[in-house]
Amino acid sequence: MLYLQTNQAKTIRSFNPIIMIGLFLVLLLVRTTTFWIAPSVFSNWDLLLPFMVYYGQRRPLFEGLLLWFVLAHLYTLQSVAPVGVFIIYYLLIFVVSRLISEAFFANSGMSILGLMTVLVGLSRIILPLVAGAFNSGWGLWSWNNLHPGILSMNIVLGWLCYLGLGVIDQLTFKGPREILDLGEGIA
Amino acid sequence: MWVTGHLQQNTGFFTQGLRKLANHYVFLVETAKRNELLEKEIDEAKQKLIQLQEVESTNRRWASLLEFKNSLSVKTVPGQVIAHDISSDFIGIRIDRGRKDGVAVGMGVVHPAGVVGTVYRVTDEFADVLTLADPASNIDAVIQRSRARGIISGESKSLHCKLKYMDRLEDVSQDDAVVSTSFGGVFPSGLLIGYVSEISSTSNGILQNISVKTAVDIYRIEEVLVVISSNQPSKNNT
Repeated sequence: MLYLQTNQAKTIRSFNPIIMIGLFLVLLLVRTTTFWIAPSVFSNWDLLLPFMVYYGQRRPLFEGLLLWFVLAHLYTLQSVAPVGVFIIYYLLIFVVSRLISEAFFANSGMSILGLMTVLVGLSRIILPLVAGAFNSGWGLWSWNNLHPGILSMNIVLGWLCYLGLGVIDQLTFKGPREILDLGEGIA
Repeated sequence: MWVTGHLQQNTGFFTQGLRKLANHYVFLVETAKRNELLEKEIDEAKQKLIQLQEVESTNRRWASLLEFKNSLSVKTVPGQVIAHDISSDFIGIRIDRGRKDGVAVGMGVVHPAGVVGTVYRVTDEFADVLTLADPASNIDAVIQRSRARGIISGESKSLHCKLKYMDRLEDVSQDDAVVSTSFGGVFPSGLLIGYVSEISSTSNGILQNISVKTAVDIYRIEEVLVVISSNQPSKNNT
């Protein structure tokens, strides 16, 4: 166990959002440029979903909203979807995850898996509705939206991503928001 | 001499045998090393061969694109696909050509295999293309055989498109070629869009439901041409 002085831990912690955005950028580049070599099933991976679920569960409201805005904006710029679709879609995912966190805080492997299952299922209903509201011409109630293979892949990758984000928080001395709300650091 | 001669003869046979033994068994270490070296060289040669095949494939694609470009009567700018849409629910591609190359929003994007889509968003160096397979895309099209006119639009999570607004009395058959029109000056007329794959109509409807299989595989194209409108000349029409 590494023991650091409070100000050292605070400095490292302040880099957490930058690391998070950096990680997202790396994954974004991998996701959009490996279509030549990656199996085509990976094109169905909703990359930002686990980030939003994680921030909804573990970040203070202001910080979570700030990360949502930056990442959802970056995401929007990588797609031909009407501007606003992903901003609203991921805001709704963030809000749902936050509301769930009031009653259920996912901390263990199984609870995270359960949370991801619920959110991935909901996301496949929320996204077509939001896209439909933007008149994107999407098939709202197409069974393709709820393909079991795509759902399973997103649940498993989302679960792994959620655990990975937890590791980054540990390495950067970032605690869950309950602890931060009480004003206690974990350094 | 007779004695020594025979002895020498046999000794020679014996030493030859020893030499053979040494070459085939004792000095096998050297052979093994040589073998490893040769295997390594073969691997490198195979790798080079694959690289050369890739270069050849790229050359062939560019040659085909150049031939296609020369066959078009409009100015075009070649571009390379550098990324795909981050969401599988929207079907777009990003190319390495932008405003400084004369690309503007709404311009058509084509490939030797057929129509790809239209420019959706553009920066100085890059452009996002809304492909014809995206549900938000709407491209004017005609059935090549009967000249029946409709609008091609994408379907979510599928490379099949719909040919919309086609009256039920119009003459459309399975495998009919669907081609572009010059309406709006976005595409040259007669470029292949796809082939009719399915036709259905409801008993009380006035329209036909027509599914079209796109000629271009959006997920496999690597190079495209952006059609520069006649009133917007390209700065880099190479």
